[in-house]
Amino acid sequence: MKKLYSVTLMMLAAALIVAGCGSKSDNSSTESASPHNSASSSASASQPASGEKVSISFWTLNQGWEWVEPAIADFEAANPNIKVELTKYEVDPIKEALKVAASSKTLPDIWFTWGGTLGSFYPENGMTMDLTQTAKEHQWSEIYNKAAIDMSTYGGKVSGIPVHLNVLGMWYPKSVYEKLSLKAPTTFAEFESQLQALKDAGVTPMAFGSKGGWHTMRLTEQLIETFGGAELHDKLNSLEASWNDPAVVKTFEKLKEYTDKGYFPKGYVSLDPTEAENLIYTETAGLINEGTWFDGVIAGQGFDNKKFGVFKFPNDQKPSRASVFAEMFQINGASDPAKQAAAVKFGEYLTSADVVNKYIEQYGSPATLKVTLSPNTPHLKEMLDSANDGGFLITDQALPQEVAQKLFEAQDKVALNEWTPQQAAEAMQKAAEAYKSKK
Amino acid sequence: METLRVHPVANVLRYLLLIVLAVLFLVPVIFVAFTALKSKPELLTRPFYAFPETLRWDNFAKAWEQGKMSMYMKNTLFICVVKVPLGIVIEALAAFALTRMNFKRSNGMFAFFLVGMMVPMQATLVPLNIFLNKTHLVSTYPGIFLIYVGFGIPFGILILRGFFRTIPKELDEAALIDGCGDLGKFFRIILPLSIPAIATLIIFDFMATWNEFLLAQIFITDDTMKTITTGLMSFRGERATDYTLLNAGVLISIVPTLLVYLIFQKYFVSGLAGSVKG
Amino acid sequence: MILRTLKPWLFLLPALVIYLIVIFFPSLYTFYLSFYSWNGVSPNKTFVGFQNFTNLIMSDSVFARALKNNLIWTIGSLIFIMGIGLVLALLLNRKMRGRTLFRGVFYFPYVLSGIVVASGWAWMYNPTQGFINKTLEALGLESWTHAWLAEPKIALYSVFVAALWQGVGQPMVLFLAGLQGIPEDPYEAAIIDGAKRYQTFRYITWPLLRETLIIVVATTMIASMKVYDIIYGMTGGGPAESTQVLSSWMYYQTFRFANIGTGSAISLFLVVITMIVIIPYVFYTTKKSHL
Repeated sequence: MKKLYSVTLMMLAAALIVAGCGSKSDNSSTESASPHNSASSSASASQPASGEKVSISFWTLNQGWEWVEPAIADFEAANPNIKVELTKYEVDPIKEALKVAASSKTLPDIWFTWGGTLGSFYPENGMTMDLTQTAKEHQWSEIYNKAAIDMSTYGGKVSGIPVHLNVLGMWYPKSVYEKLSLKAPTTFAEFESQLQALKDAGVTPMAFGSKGGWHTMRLTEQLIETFGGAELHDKLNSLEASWNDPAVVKTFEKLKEYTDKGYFPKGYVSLDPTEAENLIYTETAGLINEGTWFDGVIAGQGFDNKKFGVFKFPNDQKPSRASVFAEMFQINGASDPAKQAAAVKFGEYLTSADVVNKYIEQYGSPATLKVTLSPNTPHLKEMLDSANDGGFLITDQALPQEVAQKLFEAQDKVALNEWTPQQAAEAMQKAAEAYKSKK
Repeated sequence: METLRVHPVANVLRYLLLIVLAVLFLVPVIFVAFTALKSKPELLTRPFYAFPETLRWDNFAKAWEQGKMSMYMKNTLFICVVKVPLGIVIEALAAFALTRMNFKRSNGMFAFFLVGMMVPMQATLVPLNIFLNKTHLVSTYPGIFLIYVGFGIPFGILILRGFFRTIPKELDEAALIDGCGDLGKFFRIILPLSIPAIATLIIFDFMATWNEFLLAQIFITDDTMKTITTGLMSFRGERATDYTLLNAGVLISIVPTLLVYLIFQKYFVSGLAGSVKG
Repeated sequence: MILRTLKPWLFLLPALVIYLIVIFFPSLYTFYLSFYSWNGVSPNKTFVGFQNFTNLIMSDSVFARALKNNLIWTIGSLIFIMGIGLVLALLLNRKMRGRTLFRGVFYFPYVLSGIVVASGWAWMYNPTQGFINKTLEALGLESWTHAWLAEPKIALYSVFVAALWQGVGQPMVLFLAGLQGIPEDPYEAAIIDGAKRYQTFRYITWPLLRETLIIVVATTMIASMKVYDIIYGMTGGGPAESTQVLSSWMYYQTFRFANIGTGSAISLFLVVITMIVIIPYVFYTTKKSHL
């Protein structure tokens, strides 16, 4: 070590000797280095001075969270000893940033995440604070929707503060349904006959844009529920039942049948969801599989969401379950207790009925109970109610991510005639087994 | 080259070819501009290639405001203005050592640097994050300059080494007679003769730094330090993307890059004049 | 004497130190991880030897597809992106009216961000509403219309066209800079000797462009092995994983599936394949041109 030090010194000395020729050149080299120096000094000057304040770092999404800055300002005004450092990310980057931070043990104090297999990563690896006790003491059962708390619970431990509870349904332009004298279907057979009726009327029955796989997936999961029933569906998602099951094969057969009959837009397997949604806004397609957020999306794109209706997918099951998923705040299990306490306080504040009511138009679909919904999200209440009979966790959060990815591939390959429905079911089972053998 | 006589027919053909190609290239650019000038409902309900019904110039103002672009552009400009020259000096010194100093391990060392270009950035994120955290450099300018300069080094060395090699060795001997040391040779002979290469590098480096996204997302967590790509990304959401403002924002954000291109591509020509007559 | 051998190191020092910190050591760590099964956070890493590699080769059909796509992409880039870049540079390397304008037009797409290029071209390719199919229909060429991004056989090539449009500016600028380094004297001599235009290109321009060519070939190949943004933006790797490339698959393995070992193994593959091709190429060509 000492030797290395002396070598470095010698090199520096040599540099000074070499630099002897031409004073002009010296100037130019110091000039180009000087901005660097000023930069580092200004950066070190801007380091926050440490005081008695508790400062917590908070990561969340950028879009849909425009309300969070004023909410933070209110929170800080009410809690002058807590400072919140906010960082916002886009969808993929926040997943990436969280994974990198988790690997290098630098997670923020509190962060937003989706539920299911996306959010389970952190509690399963012991990186989140156990909120079970907090939930009991603060009577979360009175504050948050039970389903949302359940979906924030992993291995018996409450691991997140519920933020959103999303429910999916089939949306349709009322004008299209009225023109064909159609009503929201109540049976699967009726649903299928409507698809054909829409097709016959020259309307694209289902506006799916399945780049990324979700639109098709939201149909696939309801078809599995229809043909296989709730019990099998749950077991498939937990990889306890074989995917090589007649109900799965039948599901893939339906996907192929609908594709062949032209129920989806041309080239839908690579269509961006936004391109498919245009067909709904322009009232030139019949149906789209979207969720509680869609009122806001329609309005955000400059259209009137009152012109649209929504129904629960008629899967002929009793009770008939909707596809649901939750979003939550998780708190860093390794942060010091003062920060954790501040983070809990902050997370509960952001999801409190008062704050949700104040920003209800931008908040999305709240997991908080006893809030007053806005008239500008006319379908939110009926969709949340539609999950009262029960819900199943949406597939891409229920399945391990790599198995979900295989499902997307299988959906495409069936639609493109590269796999038969039987082959697709077998490939799914193979992926499930490969995942299980790794564990 | 300009002294060569050109056949007039060949000249007409050249123009024809260039114009056809330019039109083909401009078609998508025009759509970007159209998108930036439409209202959201119009973008979604009318064909993508349709001329805007009313030109929504206010999209630019909206993008500027909503994307907090003045702050992000200032931050990015600061990073570029420091990083680009700093990186080029460091790369040029290395390329000089590899080409003009009778360095025995020149090829091996060059290959060693070249390997760095092949490493996918994502593969370095976790160890880099650990390093920056241990040294308290996350979200500081020294930390940002360190990683940006680092990732620029292989490309910079590749370019500068290539151009340095085309400079005749005789010029070095002339410098030696003038009594210049290596550093003098570097600043007085090699750098001035490499102006086209340096101009090229400035163009590419400025653009790469300006548009850099992955590293900025991971290593800048302080919102007041974030770069322009972050501002543009705020138009993209989980369930809807505001393409009109995104395109307007992009058109605003590329102005500095285009300016840098227009300024420095001129030096391709003057650089040549310098090398021939100097 | 010591000073003489040390001096090159001195010039190299800043670059070398930064390079080691930022790229080299982090990469070593990644390569080390490619021999482990690890989710990125758990305290237990399991040493699995070459299993991550053998799994990729033997049983991951997406990996095979990704590798093939990278090769197609590389060959396409070398022929078309580089070729058109060279042609444009040659056309524009002379005093002529509108030269700056033309150069600007061809360079312009290169400064656009990946997401704008991806979304804009995805709309151009829209099967029912897109500009390309509408234009073909208007020209009476209905039979030529396709669902450009949705047919596994052509999806990759459709994305490539967008990448070509975006990427031609880079080799063009490099070649322009390289052409500027060529003195005029040999041309004048050649013309006096009665040489034809293609002969001056073959015997003067081409050999003197060699250094530039090395740079362009190397950067083009490396960029095509690492291509990611535009594919991810336009197709997300679909339909049916038919447009996955090594970088995107590495991204999925690392950040979606938390298979750090597999992701690292793909990175290592990428580096090794590129190295095997590029390093011999660079040295073979540099040797021949040593001045």
